[in-house]
Amino acid sequence: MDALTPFVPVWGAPEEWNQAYEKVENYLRAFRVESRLHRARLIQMALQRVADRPPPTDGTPLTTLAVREVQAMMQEWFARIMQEPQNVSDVQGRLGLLLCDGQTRWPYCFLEPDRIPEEMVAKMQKAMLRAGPDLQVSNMVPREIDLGLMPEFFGDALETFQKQPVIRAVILWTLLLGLLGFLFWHTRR
Amino acid sequence: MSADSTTNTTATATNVTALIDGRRLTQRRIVFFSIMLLLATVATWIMADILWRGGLTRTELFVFTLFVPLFLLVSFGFTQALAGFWMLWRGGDAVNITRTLKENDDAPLPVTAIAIPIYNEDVSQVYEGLRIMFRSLEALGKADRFDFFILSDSNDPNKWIEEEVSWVELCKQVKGFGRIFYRHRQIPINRKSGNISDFCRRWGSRYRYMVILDADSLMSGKALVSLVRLMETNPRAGIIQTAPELIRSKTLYGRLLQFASTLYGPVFLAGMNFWQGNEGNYWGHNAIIRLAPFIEHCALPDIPGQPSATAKFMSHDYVEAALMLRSGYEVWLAYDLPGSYEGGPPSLIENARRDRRWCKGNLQHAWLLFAKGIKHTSRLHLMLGIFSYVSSLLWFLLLTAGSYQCYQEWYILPRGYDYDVGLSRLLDIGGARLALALFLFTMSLLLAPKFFSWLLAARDAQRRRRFGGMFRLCSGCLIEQIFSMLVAPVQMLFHSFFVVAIWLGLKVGWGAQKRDASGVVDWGDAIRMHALHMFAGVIGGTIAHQIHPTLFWWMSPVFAGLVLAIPFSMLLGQTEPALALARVGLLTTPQEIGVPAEVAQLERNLSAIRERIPPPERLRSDYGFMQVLLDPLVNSVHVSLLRQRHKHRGEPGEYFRALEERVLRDGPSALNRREKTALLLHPVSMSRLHQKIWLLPDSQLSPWWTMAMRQYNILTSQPETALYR
Repeated sequence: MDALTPFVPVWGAPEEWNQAYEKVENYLRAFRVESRLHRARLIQMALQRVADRPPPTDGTPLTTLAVREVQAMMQEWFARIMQEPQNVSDVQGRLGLLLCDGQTRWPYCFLEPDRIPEEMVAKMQKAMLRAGPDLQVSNMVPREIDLGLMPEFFGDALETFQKQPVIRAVILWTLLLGLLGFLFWHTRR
Repeated sequence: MSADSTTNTTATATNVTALIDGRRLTQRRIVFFSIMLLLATVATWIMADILWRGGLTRTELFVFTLFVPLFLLVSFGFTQALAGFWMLWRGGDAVNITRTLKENDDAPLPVTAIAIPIYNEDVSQVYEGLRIMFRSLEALGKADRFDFFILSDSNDPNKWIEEEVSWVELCKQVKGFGRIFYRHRQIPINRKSGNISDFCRRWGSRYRYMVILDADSLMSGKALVSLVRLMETNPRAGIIQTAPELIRSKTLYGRLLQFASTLYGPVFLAGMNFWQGNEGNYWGHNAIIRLAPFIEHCALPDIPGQPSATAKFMSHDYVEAALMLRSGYEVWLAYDLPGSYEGGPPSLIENARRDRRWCKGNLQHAWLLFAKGIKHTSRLHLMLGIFSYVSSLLWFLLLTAGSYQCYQEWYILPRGYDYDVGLSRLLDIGGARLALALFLFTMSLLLAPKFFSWLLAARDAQRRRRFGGMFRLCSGCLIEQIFSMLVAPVQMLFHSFFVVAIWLGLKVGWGAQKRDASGVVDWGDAIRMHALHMFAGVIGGTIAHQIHPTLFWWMSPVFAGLVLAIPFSMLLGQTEPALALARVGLLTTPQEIGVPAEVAQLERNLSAIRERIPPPERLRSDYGFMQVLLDPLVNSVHVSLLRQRHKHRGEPGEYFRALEERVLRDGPSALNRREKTALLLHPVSMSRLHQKIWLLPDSQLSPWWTMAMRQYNILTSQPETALYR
């Protein structure tokens, strides 16, 4: 691994560069770049690319510029590995990295312009998720069934009953009052 | 597709159809139902004799009308247990589908689908169970003969993401890509049955058989292979249901259920197999299904009289079994096939929640009772399902009417029990003693199945040891009896309330089931659920005491269960008393003494997962949603899966842009579940939000996101699942 070179930006406050460093570091950690050495190198690469550009005139914060830079690095890297346009390869590349366990098996290769093992490239290119095997569509429809007596006697009544909460409440109260009336009458015979 | 095109028709030499023909089955049923009716007739006669003291009052007639169907059920349960006891005592039933398994059968197996429909379940439990089954099949060299399908209907955004992440991780770990699939439905039409139908429509015709599992189901590789072999050997079998054993119960309630089902279950299951034979039932999981006839004949019909024209039966399993039998295929119960497990409800309250759903489902089956073409056995299964809930209401009415009748006997009517007629006169014992005899007769029938089960265990030294020895077996039975006596009245009121509420058309939710044992009951829950029970117990007890102290003492077990419902339910939902009993070997089951390898491994895996440090408290409620937006790898999994289903989905419209802005500016809590789901369904929004969250300066983001970015990476090195990292 190359030795770290000094980073001396000519514009931007040190506090802003520190914030950009932290943001890029968080982003790379979300990518499971666990090696601190490798992570530091990648952060410096990204920040150096920002520093090499002229300062922004539209007030874009350094954190945004740094993350944009690292995202651009990734898109270029994924596009090269996946051999697809950048807009297609980003998601596919991230997925490939996850499925081939790239960060665990080849911890120093992420975003490296060279030295990418062929196995890693092949595995990333082949990686895909399938929610199921190829469809083999069947027609599953209910068969005719004669439900006999039940719908004839109760179908309409039940539908009315379920659609009309007022009727339901009236019936409930009638039953309750009827029961109370019955008890009242019976206990006084 | 015709059933025969996918059925192995060569293996018919030893199929079970040869073991049971229609005549033999009819003979069995005649014997079975004759015993049942004989017992019910004797009891009915005695009851009529007791009530008939020179005529029947309206109350007496009402009591008698309730008594007859209820005693028929008691008698049915006893006869079933008696038949099962007889079969097991003799060493097993010759008419048993598992007897058609050939030893050393090494015939090639067709690839079988294992479908696991889930809905906001404990993800770790589902996936660890799957991992155990996959490994178990691997050990047998049969992993390539099974494809696993996780069929998710989860609508909780966190669960959805957790399921996706876990799926990818599991596939990576077991090299299961192409063998383990994950499908998430956008709209969960018709719940679980719709979920299964969706699978059948997409992939069903690729497979000859499908094994259906529940979220907490576990099956050994051997059991899975045996099920496929049974299907191959019995080409007329449409469904083979196993009898899952309850495992991993941690609470007192769970352990009581586990003990009871393990000890008492076999006699009922063997008895069920005795009378149902090849016209069995299906319980919705831990079963294998022949897909061609299932697809062709078992699509659920609509329920008439529902507001929605496409409302389907909630409890689909009984209906599917009835339709399978109608199509000419058989449904078997492989009641002694080992290696089939499931979890049970951890508390009385959870059990009631599950019962409420099942109650509605079973009541809906009334529509099919008179359907043409349905087998009479299916009608009986449906009827038994309905009565398993309606009977509670009938018992409640019987107790109430019986108490009122006592009041009449003591205070209103001129004649009492001592007015001798019929049997009591013949036997010269008086009405009161005859009533006592009927009570003892009823109790004998209710308790005899437990005695049969105890006897089977007690006489078999090995089985006895697996329950912890004779002393622990007897103590366990006693403890279970006391608790079941106290639980029964609470269950009765729960079920009665459900039946009435459902008849009145009140809504029944489809909530996810709590299946673990962690903090399942708190005082608030217990008071809310049981306050009415306690009130009913106090009022009922007071009235009974006012009527006559004797009545009160006779009914005191019922009142005790109700009055103590709140603390009792709390006690049942706790793990400490269960652990204390387990420490001295009480309520021990054979699965605990000789723990099956799969169960032991599952326990180890889940314990290891739960020992991990959970995410910070502030992130927990939106962890999955945060993960999919923040984590570039998780985001890629989600977007890739979305792109497969929504290949041509264009730029999101104004609604989505507004949601994106809100979630960035105000954090995930600013969106409700539906809005989060909408975002999660849009691949472009998902990709864009991921980019933006990292690009935007802190000043333009909700502080929640800034905090999440800093905290997310502290613990994780792998994209682990949400709550158990």
